[in-house]
Amino acid sequence: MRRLMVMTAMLSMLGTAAYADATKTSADAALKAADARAALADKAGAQWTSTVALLKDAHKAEAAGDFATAQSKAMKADAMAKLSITEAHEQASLWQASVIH
Amino acid sequence: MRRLLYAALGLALAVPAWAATRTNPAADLKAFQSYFHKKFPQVAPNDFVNGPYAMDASMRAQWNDIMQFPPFQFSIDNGKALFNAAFPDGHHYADCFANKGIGITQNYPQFDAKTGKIVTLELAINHCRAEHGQPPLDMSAGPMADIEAYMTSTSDGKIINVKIPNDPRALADYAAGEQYFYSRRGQLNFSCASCHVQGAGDHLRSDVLAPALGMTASFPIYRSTWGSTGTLVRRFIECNSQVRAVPSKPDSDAYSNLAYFLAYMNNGLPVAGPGERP
Repeated sequence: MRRLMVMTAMLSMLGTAAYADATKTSADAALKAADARAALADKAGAQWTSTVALLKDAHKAEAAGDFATAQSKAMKADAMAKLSITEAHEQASLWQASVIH
Repeated sequence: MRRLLYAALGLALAVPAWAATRTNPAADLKAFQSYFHKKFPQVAPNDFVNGPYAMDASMRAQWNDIMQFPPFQFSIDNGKALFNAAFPDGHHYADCFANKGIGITQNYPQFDAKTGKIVTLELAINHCRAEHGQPPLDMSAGPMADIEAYMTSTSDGKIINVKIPNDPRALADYAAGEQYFYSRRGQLNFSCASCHVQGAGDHLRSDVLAPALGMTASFPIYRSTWGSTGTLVRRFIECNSQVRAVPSKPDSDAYSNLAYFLAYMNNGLPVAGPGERP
């Protein structure tokens, strides 16, 4: 779990500067990947509200022609969707450790 | 293809059977209640239905003042009027329930042997509406919470008695609710139990985390935060959102099963609803 938290913190520190050379093509690809992963998280009942919000912002930035922001947010959303799926998979067995006996 | 269908059918039958062999609600109930009695020896067993007010003297004093004019009274009054109003076909809500709907909420949620699903009071109210050609109500607040407030007021003080029949499907529903309760979710990686078992009695800023024991006994509740009366489903949705998990649908099996598990854990406690919370 600590690894998840460190990864989330690192992701949140990534700025859009890293994607200054983003193009419509690269932003679209990042959005497509993030949408697909978020759909998987949704199907697994593991979606985070923060992922949904990031994806919405990414699409909005893409529509406004801000491809650096769109790509940055899409990649963060993709990583968060991946973490949420990992969380659900882990909890499928880990929950039993918390049960009162 | 036929082999695949047989395999799927076998699995569908095997899962409830598997849950049935692994699940022992009576033992869970005993361990659950014993955990809270040991953790809070100063709290009288029946006082757990009062949630944070059983844990904090100053909050209890404020609550006693608030209850001079219970803020949920408007909901009870409106709920009574709605409950007694006739549907266009001339029938009433009372026609859909045992004992005409009076003094029965301590028995909910119930397992429906016909569908194999859990029926919460909210679902039962909406089923009743559907039977009489009416659209479903929002299950979280408004008229639903008011009708439930009135019905719950007629059960005030009655002993919670949720039954889990010896049916593999009922045990599977209970087990699913138990799993939901203890599973961490959302970006904050919290389970229901994180706050209401491990953190019960602790403070989140000025709020005291209510223990899971007794929690369902006071629903529906008037929450000052909401400024209105809401159902247990409304609280589930709020809890999910607070840990940044996308909530389930109000009428989802996930929430019905969770309500079934939680209410069963409160068996033996008195109904204390509708309630009031900060």
